Amino acid sequence: MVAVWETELGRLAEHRGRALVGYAYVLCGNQREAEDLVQDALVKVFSRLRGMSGSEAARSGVHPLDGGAVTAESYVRKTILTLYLDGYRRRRRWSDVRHLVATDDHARGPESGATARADVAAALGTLPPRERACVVLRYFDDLTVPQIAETLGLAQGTVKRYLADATSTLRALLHTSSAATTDRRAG
Amino acid sequence: MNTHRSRDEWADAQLGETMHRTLGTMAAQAARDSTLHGAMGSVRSRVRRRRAAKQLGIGATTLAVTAALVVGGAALLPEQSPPPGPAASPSQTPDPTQAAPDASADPTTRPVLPTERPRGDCSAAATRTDMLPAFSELSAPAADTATTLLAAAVDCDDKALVALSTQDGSSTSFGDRTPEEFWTLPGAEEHEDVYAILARILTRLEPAELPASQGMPAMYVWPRLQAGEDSAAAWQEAVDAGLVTPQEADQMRAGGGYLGWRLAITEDGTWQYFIAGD
Repeated sequence: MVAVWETELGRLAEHRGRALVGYAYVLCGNQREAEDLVQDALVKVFSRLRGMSGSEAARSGVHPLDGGAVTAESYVRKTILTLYLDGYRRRRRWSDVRHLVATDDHARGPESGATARADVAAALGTLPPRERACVVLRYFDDLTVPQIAETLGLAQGTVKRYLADATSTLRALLHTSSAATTDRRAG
Repeated sequence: MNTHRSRDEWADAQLGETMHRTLGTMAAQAARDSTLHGAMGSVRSRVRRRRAAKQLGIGATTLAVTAALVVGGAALLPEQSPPPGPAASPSQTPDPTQAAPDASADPTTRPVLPTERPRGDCSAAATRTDMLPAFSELSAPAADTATTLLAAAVDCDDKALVALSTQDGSSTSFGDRTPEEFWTLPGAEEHEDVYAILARILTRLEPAELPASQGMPAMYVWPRLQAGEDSAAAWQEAVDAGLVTPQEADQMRAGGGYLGWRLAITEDGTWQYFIAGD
C-alpha cells in the first residue's frame, strides 16, 4: 500500500513540479540550484511527521498532507524561500561575496526578449538575497507589502526599504542598458 | 544613503511591469528546462530515510522518557516497596547510551563517552576521552548534539556523522560534495584531518552565542571569531586549535574576516554547519 505522503508527493511533483522549479529559479537565478532547492524543499516538507509543532499548527490549522495539493505547494514554496535565504546566510555575509556575482550591467539592449531577460537576470543577480526575495514576492507572486512582510517575518517598513533599494538598483542598471542601446542606435 | 529616500519610492509602475513580465518568462523557461521528474526517485528515497529516522528517534525518546519516569517514581516510593516490574530496569531501555547516564549526577560533571564502541582509524582516534567538555554553557539540545558529534568524531564513526549531517541538512561543503563524500573514511581525510579538526573545535574552544536575529535562530558558533570577536587572543585560539595557520590567520584578519574551519549548532540542537573557506 502506498503511503499518503507518497501519493501527495507524486501528485505535487507531476502537476506543480515545473512551476516550483520556475519559482526557485527566479529566486536563485541558476537552473541547477533551483532544482536542488525544490528537491530539498520537497524532502523537508514531506519528511515532517503528522505531529506538527504548536506554532505551525496554529498558523495553518492543517498538516500539509491533510490539506491537498494547494496547501502542500504553499508549504514547499515557503520552504524554497527559506532554504534560499538560509543558503546565503550560511555561506557568508552578502557583502563579502557581492563582488563575486557575475554582473553585466553594461550589457545588451532589449532588442529581443532574450536579451531583456538576460539584462533583468543580470540586474537581479546584483541584489542581495533579501532584496531579491522581496522583488520576487512582489512582482512574481503578486504579494502586497504586508503579505511580503508576513512571509519573510519582517516589518513592513523593512520590506519597503528593501523594495526601494532594489528598485533603485534595478532602475539604474536597466535604464543604463536601455540608454546604452539608444545611444548605439543613435550613433 | 537610503535614509533620506521615501520608503514608498519602490512603487515604479514601468519597472514593475517589466519585472512582472520578465520574471514570468524566466520562470516559464526554467520550468520547461526542469529535470525534476527524473530526480523524484531520489527525493522519495530521501524522504523515506528521514521519516524512518524521525520515527526511530521519537520511539527511542519516548521509551527513554518513560523509563526515566518509572525510575523516578520508584525512587519516591517507600523503601519497602520495590520498584515495579522489569520496565524499571535501565538495561531494558532501547539504547543505554541515549539515556541520561545518571539522573542524580551533578550537571556540571563531564559526560563519559561510551568506550566500548570500536575505535576506527582516523585522525581523531587519539583524542583523549577522559576529560571531555560538559558543554554546560549550551542549551540542552545543543549540548546533546555537540556530545554526539564529538563521540562520533573520536570514534571515527563516519556512518553516524553522515546520518547526522544528512538529517540536519548540515553544510559541509560549498561545492557539490555529499555528506557521504565528505565524511566517509578513509577518503574523507585525504587532504585534511577533518575528524581531528572537529574534535579539536569541540574540546579546545569555547563557543560564542549568536542571538536570534532577522529570522535566524539563536546558535552557538565555534570559534568565537564568527561572532564578531576580533581580538588577538581569539585568533590565537583558532591557530592553536589547528584551524588555520598563523599566516592564514594574518591574511584573514587583514582581509576582512575568519574563513577557517567553523562549526555551528542552533539552540534547538540542529547541526547547522561544519565548513571551511568561502
